[in-house]
Amino acid sequence: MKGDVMEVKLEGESRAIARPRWLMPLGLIAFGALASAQTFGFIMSPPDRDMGNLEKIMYVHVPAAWTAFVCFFVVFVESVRYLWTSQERHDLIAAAAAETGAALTALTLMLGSIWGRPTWGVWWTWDARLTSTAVLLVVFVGYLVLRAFTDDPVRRAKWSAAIGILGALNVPIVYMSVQWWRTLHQLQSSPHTLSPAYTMSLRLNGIAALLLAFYFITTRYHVARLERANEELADADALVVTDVETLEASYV
Amino acid sequence: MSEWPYIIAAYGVSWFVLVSFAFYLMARDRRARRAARGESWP
Repeated sequence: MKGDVMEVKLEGESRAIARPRWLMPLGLIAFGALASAQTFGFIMSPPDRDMGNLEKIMYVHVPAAWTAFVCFFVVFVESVRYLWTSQERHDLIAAAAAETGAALTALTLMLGSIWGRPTWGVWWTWDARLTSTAVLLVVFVGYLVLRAFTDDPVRRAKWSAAIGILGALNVPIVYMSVQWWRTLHQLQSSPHTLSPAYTMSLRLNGIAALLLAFYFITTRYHVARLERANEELADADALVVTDVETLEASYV
Repeated sequence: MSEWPYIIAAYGVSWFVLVSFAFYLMARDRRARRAARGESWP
């Protein structure tokens, strides 16, 4: 793979960790696409009959939620692949997607709260959609905390995969919650349930958010590979130090 | 009350969170690269 190559020296051998050159331009393009899609939504979509201009919050809230769901789908697939193959890269991709998904879920909840105050009259309510989304966030924050506090990489990957699969299984519950229970939250927003006046703007914002999420996951994955190589180097050093200490102790 | 403070808050929060996340990833990348060069431990 062509790109910036970082060399990590490991027990006399070195490992090259490449980061694609297209990552930074991709990030700039993704942020540019997001700004363009939002501008398009502001200019082209008329005020809603009931909500007025508050409908414009949909172009940030709904794509954030959709993209978080996609991230958790990636977590599910990569976690299953890790448990199946034990290849570390699947664990690292799942972790990268989980971190991105958690950030986007937190953003979804914040935006929903900002939207809920003027339309429902409350910042928060224990509605099935809001509560299940909050549970989803708590599960994936737990996933990230678990990773941060587990030193053994194999155990960390296995436990993370198990939590990742269970957490991702919550996504269909979140999605269907507005149909299964009586909720204050409206039915799922999609191009099929929207007036055509809003469809194009929502689609464009969804695509831009997906592009941004792809950039986040890819960047996080490359950082994770580098951090993992550093971790292995630190472990190798610790082993050498322990050996020397054992040797010294045997002389005493 | 006008709807615009909520709209501005929503877009402001979105950009703040997304740009902060991008900077967090860049900072973490820089730290990992420094550690790989042996300049500091992660």
